[in-house]
Amino acid sequence: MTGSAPLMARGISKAYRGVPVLREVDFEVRSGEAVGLVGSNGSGKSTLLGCLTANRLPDRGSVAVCGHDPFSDPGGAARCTGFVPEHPFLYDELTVGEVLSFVVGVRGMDSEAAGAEADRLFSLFGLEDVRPRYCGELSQGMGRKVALTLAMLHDPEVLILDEATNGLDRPSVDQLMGELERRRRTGAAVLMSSHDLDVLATHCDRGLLLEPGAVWRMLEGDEWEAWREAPSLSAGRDGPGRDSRNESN
Amino acid sequence: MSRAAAISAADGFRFLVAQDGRRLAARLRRSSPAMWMGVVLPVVLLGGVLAAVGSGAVPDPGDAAGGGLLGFMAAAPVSFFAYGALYRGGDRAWIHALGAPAGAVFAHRALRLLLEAAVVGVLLLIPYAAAGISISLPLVILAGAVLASWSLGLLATAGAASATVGSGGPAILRAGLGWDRELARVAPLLYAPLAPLVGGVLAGFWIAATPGAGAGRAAIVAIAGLAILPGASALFTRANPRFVPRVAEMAFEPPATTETALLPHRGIARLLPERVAQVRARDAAVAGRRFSWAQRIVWPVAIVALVAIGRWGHDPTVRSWIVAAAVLTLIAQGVAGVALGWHERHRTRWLDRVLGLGTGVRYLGRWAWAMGIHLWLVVPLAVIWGLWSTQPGWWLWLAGAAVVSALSAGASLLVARA
Repeated sequence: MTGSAPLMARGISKAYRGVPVLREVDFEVRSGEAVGLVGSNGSGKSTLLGCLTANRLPDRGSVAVCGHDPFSDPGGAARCTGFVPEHPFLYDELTVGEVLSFVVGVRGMDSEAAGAEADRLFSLFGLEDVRPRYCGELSQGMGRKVALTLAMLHDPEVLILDEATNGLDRPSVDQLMGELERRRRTGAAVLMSSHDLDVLATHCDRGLLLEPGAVWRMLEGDEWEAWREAPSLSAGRDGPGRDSRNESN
Repeated sequence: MSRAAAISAADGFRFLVAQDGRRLAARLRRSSPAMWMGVVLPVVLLGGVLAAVGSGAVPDPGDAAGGGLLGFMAAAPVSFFAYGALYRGGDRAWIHALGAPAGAVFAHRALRLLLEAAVVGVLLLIPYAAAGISISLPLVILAGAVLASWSLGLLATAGAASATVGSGGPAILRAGLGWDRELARVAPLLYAPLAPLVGGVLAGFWIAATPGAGAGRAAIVAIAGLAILPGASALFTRANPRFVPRVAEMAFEPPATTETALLPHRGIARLLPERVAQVRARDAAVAGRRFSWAQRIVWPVAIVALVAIGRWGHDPTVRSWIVAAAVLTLIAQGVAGVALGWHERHRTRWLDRVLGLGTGVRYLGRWAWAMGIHLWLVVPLAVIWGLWSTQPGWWLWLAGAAVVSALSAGASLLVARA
């Protein structure tokens, strides 16, 4: 592993009420790279993303986002992270414009530059007239696009997207992937989960496969290429890839 | 690369307060009957009850014991609000993820708690004002007690949060909770309300002990309270990164291991029509798990009231206290009903629609659930009232419960936008 990767996870373990969900998960996302997080419902994808974004407390292990530990330097980690959770939070009673101004203020951004970037992203997602609308009135897809805009507004070095394509129509998925590709070319690292395996297979460079029982497998190189040929949530021992847990032990 | 920059705690505080202002203004701009029913009605009802019972509901502030009791009445709710003010809220995780300075979040949450504490203080002044008693001395006592419990509540809660992300706090606190390891881990949080409660009582006692010097003593309490805030803020800041994710995990409830089906035909619920009984059983199960306090608060109130009626039921002041406590309990249970509507609005309302459950069935089912939890309080009270208090009108207890449950069920459905 390289020490300069913007997103690094070392030995992340997490259990709920004694039931292990993650065990010694160890990986990194390098600058300009996209890693797909693959797994069935309940396999621990959101828990892992929560541990990386300080929304879940790992029982063991460490996380570094641009060199910042989100648990000891949350401000530093937040400044270089853009995160969209599975169910993004928006204030129902506020307009999109009001939420936008709040995010710009709390992130300490230049309001003019941030406003221009927001306009570009809103336009990209077909949300030109969304600012005066109340968040509570947005559809699921529109809400996700607004959350994506808010997450990318500050040009974060690390983008973490949980269920990245939920609620998005196909053209919007393509727009999002194009935008991620553009950001990767400028050095952003992307980690995203999705149940749309074709999207992950098409747009990611490597994959982290989580399986029930707190088993994880890093799929890269030929293994990743093999997985891309036939994307699956439950690649068994005889399937493509290797069990990284066994290797690391 | 990243265009985000660190902002000062003062700027963060300003943004958070402005955000609250915008949210409040938006709510008022778009207010609905449901909002007024859910938020304002309980406060108005509570104020009305306090005004109606007058000075019988509050202690004499002219001596130390009365001051201590008044301090207790102010500090008790503030002590229990502290955790919610600091750590609850749908935007908690999001604000954290945005990287808002923890000091700004602390100041913002402390301001919220101060406003809640001020509401408690104002409510407690109502009986004095309604009885035509000068509010100057109660005001001074309440100011001291509220500020003491506010500042100590912030310190104790932030300290407890800090302890839970460390060793889990002093072993002596965990010892009594050893049967449940998860509970033992958060023992400091369970005991945290004690410090502000005791602080509020002592402040009230001390200020009332020498009424002539009350204002000066209240000022000393206020200065001492403000002096400990930086310490509380430092504890909050230290604990926040690891405690915020823990808050979400503490809200996790393990799957039920006992009941596998609802029991719609239990007790007098057998008398209800089938669909109404099903709705009542569903509401009882949801509310019983989500708002279990609504049922638990009955027991201390009922037991104390029964003993008080049996022993001092002839005393009008005691009877006033019992009526006030029972009405407050019924209102609190009504608030749980309204909260059930809020919960439903965002989550499960669709299910009733696809099942074809009409408003009438839902209303009756919810009323039956609300009346059912009221009965555990009012039936024993009505019996003992009729037997021992020498006062007529035992049936008023049942009628009162029926009215409160009818109102709360209606408010609940309004809030749920049925």
